[in-house]
Order: sequence, then structure tokens, then C-alpha cells
Amino acid sequence: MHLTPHEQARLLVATAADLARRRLARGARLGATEAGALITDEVQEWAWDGLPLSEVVRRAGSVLRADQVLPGVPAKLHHLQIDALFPSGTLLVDVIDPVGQPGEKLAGSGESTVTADRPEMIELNAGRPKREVTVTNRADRTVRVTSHVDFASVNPLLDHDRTTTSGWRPDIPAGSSISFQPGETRTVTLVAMAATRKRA
Amino acid sequence: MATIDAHTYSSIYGPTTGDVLGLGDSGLVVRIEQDDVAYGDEILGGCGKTWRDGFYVRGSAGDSELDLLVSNVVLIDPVLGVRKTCIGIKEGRVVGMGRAGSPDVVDGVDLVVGPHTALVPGEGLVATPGAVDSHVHLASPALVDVALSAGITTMVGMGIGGVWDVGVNPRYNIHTLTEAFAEVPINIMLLARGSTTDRGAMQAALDAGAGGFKVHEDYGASPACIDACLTVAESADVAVALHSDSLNEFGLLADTIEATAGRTIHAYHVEGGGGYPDLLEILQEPHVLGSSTTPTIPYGKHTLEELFPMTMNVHRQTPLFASDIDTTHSRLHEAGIQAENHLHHRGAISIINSDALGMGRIGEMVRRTWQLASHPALGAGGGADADTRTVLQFLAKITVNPAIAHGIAQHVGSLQPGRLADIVLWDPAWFGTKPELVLKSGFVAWGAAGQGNGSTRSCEPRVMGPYFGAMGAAPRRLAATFVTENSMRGGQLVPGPTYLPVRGTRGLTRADMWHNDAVPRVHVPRDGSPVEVDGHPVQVAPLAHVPYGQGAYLA
Repeated sequence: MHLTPHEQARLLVATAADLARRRLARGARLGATEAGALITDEVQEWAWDGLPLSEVVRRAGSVLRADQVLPGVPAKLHHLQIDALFPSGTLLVDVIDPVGQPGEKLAGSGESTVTADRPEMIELNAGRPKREVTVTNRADRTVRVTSHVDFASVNPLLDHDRTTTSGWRPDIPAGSSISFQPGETRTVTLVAMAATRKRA
Repeated sequence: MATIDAHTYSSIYGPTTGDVLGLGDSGLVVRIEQDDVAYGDEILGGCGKTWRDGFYVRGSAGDSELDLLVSNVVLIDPVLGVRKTCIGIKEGRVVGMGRAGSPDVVDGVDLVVGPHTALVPGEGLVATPGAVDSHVHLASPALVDVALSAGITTMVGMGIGGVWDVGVNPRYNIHTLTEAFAEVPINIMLLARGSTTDRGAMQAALDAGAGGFKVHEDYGASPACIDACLTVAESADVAVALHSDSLNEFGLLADTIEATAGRTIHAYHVEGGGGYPDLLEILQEPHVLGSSTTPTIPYGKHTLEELFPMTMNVHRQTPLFASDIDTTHSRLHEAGIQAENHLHHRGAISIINSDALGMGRIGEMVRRTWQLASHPALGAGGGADADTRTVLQFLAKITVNPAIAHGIAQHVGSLQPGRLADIVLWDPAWFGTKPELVLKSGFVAWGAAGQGNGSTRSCEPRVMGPYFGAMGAAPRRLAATFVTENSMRGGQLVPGPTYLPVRGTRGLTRADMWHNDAVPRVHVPRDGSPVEVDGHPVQVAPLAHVPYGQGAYLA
């Protein structure tokens, strides 16, 4: 058979999926391991048959209902990444929450959810010096600027008064960005960087 | 004013102060008590994120550069509590917790990230110290992979494989087993058999690399053996684990307690499944550190039924001797098991261990701990603050308390700065069952790995197994063998492994056990009626369904 490690792993999935089908057939509810295997197995076979990628992703969410799995299972299957062999080659089938939203609590289930015991909104960079700057994008393409860049060092084609922005960064969530379209002028709020840093 | 809604915040950066996080499918929750990161200054890896040169990565960090950072993780530690933080690691040990990044960019940086620091993203994950299993029969090498796959990073073990033994002796066997364990990414302490009055032989075992003793009735647990073993242990600074005399052959429980003469001892099986039928009463002695094992945790519908054949098989009892059948029946104490479950919640039994391959399951030590912790009739579900206390109490039983009892708490059992960075990362939904990653001495050694041909690192099926820290000679660097301080100077250890010293085992009392320091009055009626704790009879109904079970495992 000349099996590769990848093919052997596929057989492991097939075996676990068959176990899941046997359990479903006698009315038993599934745990996360065999439930994940069943979804993975179905995805692999729809891919084999050449269904469109988007259709395979859509169908992955219809393999199991929440009442066919044990409590806590939907949260455990929050995200499945499945590399499947289509007639057109191997493609990543990215599946989110295939057994319902983990937040949808079943009676008696202990889903792993986060509940907030604090204000609904969290203020970012609270209590720090802030200022506004007006910026025009002179480039012929979009420029994106992220949360922790020293604003005086951004793309030279983002036209603004750089004597005022050294030691200041965008006042936005860490790891997010703001985009400037070609020719666009907009005002953004900046927040002071570390106190030890030289600041305009 | 920049704001973000609380749900989005926790989805991106992980839960924060005031959030209540569910642990697995039990309903057990913890409250995040503090968040070391300032809102708006979170460290994140990836395209456009903050983990970049000149952002949170300092251009030149010099000597303070970390080897590895676990970012934005919910730390649950029996000593440090529950907090959202970053964990900094250098040379295999925890350097500190707190805010990570570059002091040029953010204020209040505790952990300076340099251009070559590695990142394990911890957003949305829970970190606990690697578990310490203080009762492992090393009857088969198959248990090592199972232990790592359950989040156990330290084993206190006995036996050499393929045999029934309660210790590792003599030098040839100690050296051979030590060399074998140098190749696997798990810390090991070998207990020598202490069931002898030959003090010279016991000292020789310590010199050759044993890190403590086990006294077991199958090899002799008479008051004379206990006294001799404790005498050697007192002078060498090692722990003694005791499986006492089920038969009352050499005396009663009081005689064994008298033989200890106030010297610290780790009493295995205090529920009475191995040892005196009334062994639970030993918990009245402050110098006794008590543990009990997986088969009776939690007390279930069929616990008693399975214990009979298990006891017969393990302890080499034959059905052809009526006396063996009678002896085995005498070891099964339903009232004792109920009281054991209660006394864990009372904090009188300080340690849970597996008794792997010798009447226990190593892959279930951690999950059974959480099954008992979340027991609805024993106090779980009392709200976030009560649950948080329970979580820390039960985590201590499988981490810091066995580490203290065996003199290795300066290295393992907690993630306080200076300890080995043996860190287990859990997806909260899978908490207590299947870890995401196991870091051994600050290097990824084990975990759920996606397919080798995968386009991402998480392509199904994800399978628990070795990472590079478990390969080649890496385990020699990452895993420790615990031995006496004297043996490290004595020249009789086999060369090769990384040795670390045992320290501080003597003079310990229950008061040294984190979150488990109760010393109640315990009376075990001779007629099998309920055990009395502080004068009150204790009864616990058997569980018919447990969390951390079928929802997570297909078998």
C-alpha cells in the first residue's frame, strides 16, 4: 500500500469515526474525541467527492446536533482544521464551532465559558496623555498602521506634523491597526508611549 | 477614549480581572484575581501585532533577554493563586511573572523581551505547574507517555519494570534505571526499598542515586523497619513513604505511630486500601503527611466492586487460599473511602497520587483530582470564590504538596520564580483532561501535535506525543533526577543525567501542606459504620456520573 504517515493518520480518523457511528446508531451521545473524528471523516469524504470547498465547510456544521453529544463537547470542538484531499489537490477546511455555539448551554452542562463580572466596556490606555493628529495619505495605495508604532516613524507618505508625534502611538487595541486609504485625510488619537521614552 | 467590550477583550487577549472561567465540563470555575497587563498594552505575536522589533521586542536586551515567554495566560498555581500574566523563562527556570515587553515602549515592564526570545502564545489558555505523582510503580515503561499526556512532569517511583517491587535497589538497578530515565522528558525520583533494618544497605542506595525510601508491608513494614528507615532518612534528609501493615501482624496502628516517634512520614493509602484498616486515624498526627490514590477518587457506584480483583491481582493473592480472600476483603472499606473523599475536601489528606500499575492509573491522577474537587455533594458549586479556593486546594494535592513532602519543592510543584519551568498549558474546555502543551524546563517537550503534512500546525487528527524536547539527548538537559545532596558529592552516581538535590524533608508537619493542613479528630468504628470526623459520622453518596470522563475520552 505504500502508506505515508498522513494516510495512516487518516485511517485513525476513519476508525474513530466508525466508533462514533456505532455509538450514534444505538442512541449513545458522543464525546469530543469521536465527535471530532466523525466531523473530520465526513469532511474528508465530501472533499474526496469534489464538493466545493465552501460547501464542505458549510456541511461540517450539520454533522452533529448539540443533543447528540455529551455536555461540554461543543466547547471542546471550538475549532477544527482539516487538510483534505480534493480532486484539485489538498485544501485546508477550516471549521469553527461545528456543534453549535459553546455558549448555548444544555441543561446540566458545564460549558467552559467566560462570564464577565465587571463593566461591559473596558477602557484602554486609561489615564495616559493623549493627543490628536491629522494625517493625509499621499501614497497611491492603502497604508496600515498598528497599535504600538511610534507615530513619527510611520511611512513617509503619511503626511503629518512629525514634530508632534515622536513617542506617541495610536490609541487603539493592542495588535489592531488603522488603515489610510489613498488620498484620505483623517484625524487619529494618539497615546503616550513609555514615560522613559523621549516624547514630542 | 478607546474602549473594547468585555467579551471581545477576553476572546482576543484571554480572560481578565473579574472574569469567571469555567474549567472543563464539571461546572467548576475560577475567578481571575488580578491581571498583570495594562489594558491596551497586551503583547501579541503575528502579522501587525506587538511582538516585533522596536515594538515590544527590545532591539538589544543583553543579559536580561528571556529564552521563552508564555504570554497572556491564566496562571493557576497553588502558591501564586489565579492571575492573568506572562511567564518569563531563562535557562529552564521561571524568572518571573508579570508585564512583558520593551521598557522603551510600555511602562512597568517586568519581563524584557529580546530579539531572540521565543514566544508561546498563552491567550485563552490556562497554565498550571506540571503535576507531581508521588506514588508510581515503575512496572512498565508504557506509563511515561501516559503520564506526560496527562500533564505529569515529575514521578516519585519504585520498581524496575516487569517485576512486583516497591523500591529500586541495589546500586546496579538504581544506575540502570537512572540511565533509562535520562532519555525521557520527565523528572524522576527513585525510592529505594526501606523495608529492612539494614541501615548500611539503605545508605548505600541513597549514595547510588535513590532520593527517598518506601516501606511496604509486602516486603516488611514492622515497627523495627520503620524505625530503622526513619533513622537513615533523618540523617540523609529524605522522605519515607509508608504502606503500613494491613494484617495487624506486628502490632496495631498505635505501634506504627509509636515507631515513627514524631518523625515526619508520608503515609500512603490513608483510606485503608493498603495498610491498617483504621489507618485514617493516622491523620490525627500532625507529623504525618497523608495521601490517597486514584481508584477510590472519587468514590463511585462500583468502586468497591472493582477493588477486590484489583487487590487480589496486584498483591499476588491466590483464590486457592481462603485466607488470601479474607485478607483482601479486610482491605475494602466502604466507610473509609467515603470518609477519604470527605477528608480531601476538609484538607486533612494533603496529597493525591496514582499508585500507577500497583492499584491505580497514572493517566487518571489529574482528572480524578478534578472529579473529586467538583463533587457536587462535597462543596463544589458554591460560587466563584468558593470554587477558586477548592481549585487551589486540589491543585496543591498534585503539585506543591507532594513536592514539599519529598523535598523537591525548590524545583517543582509551583511556578514561583526559581522553579523549573515545568508548565502544562490547557484549553479551558479540555482542562484537567488533555493538555495542549507540556513545557519541560522551559522547552516544549510534549503535547497535541497536528499532522506532519499539515498546512498549519493544528491539522486533524491532533495526537498527543513528543515534541523536540522529548527527542535525542534533549531530555538529559530538560529532566532532572532527584538525589541526596551527599550523593552529589560522593562520586557514586552514574554519570550523565542532570541531578538536583532533595532538601528539607525532615521536620515537616501538616501545617507545611498548602491549602491542606487540617488535623481533625478521626475515629474509624470497628464495625464498618461511618467514620467519625470531629465527632460527626461522615457519609458520601457514590457518584454515578463523573465530569472529565466520557466527554473528553473515547475510551
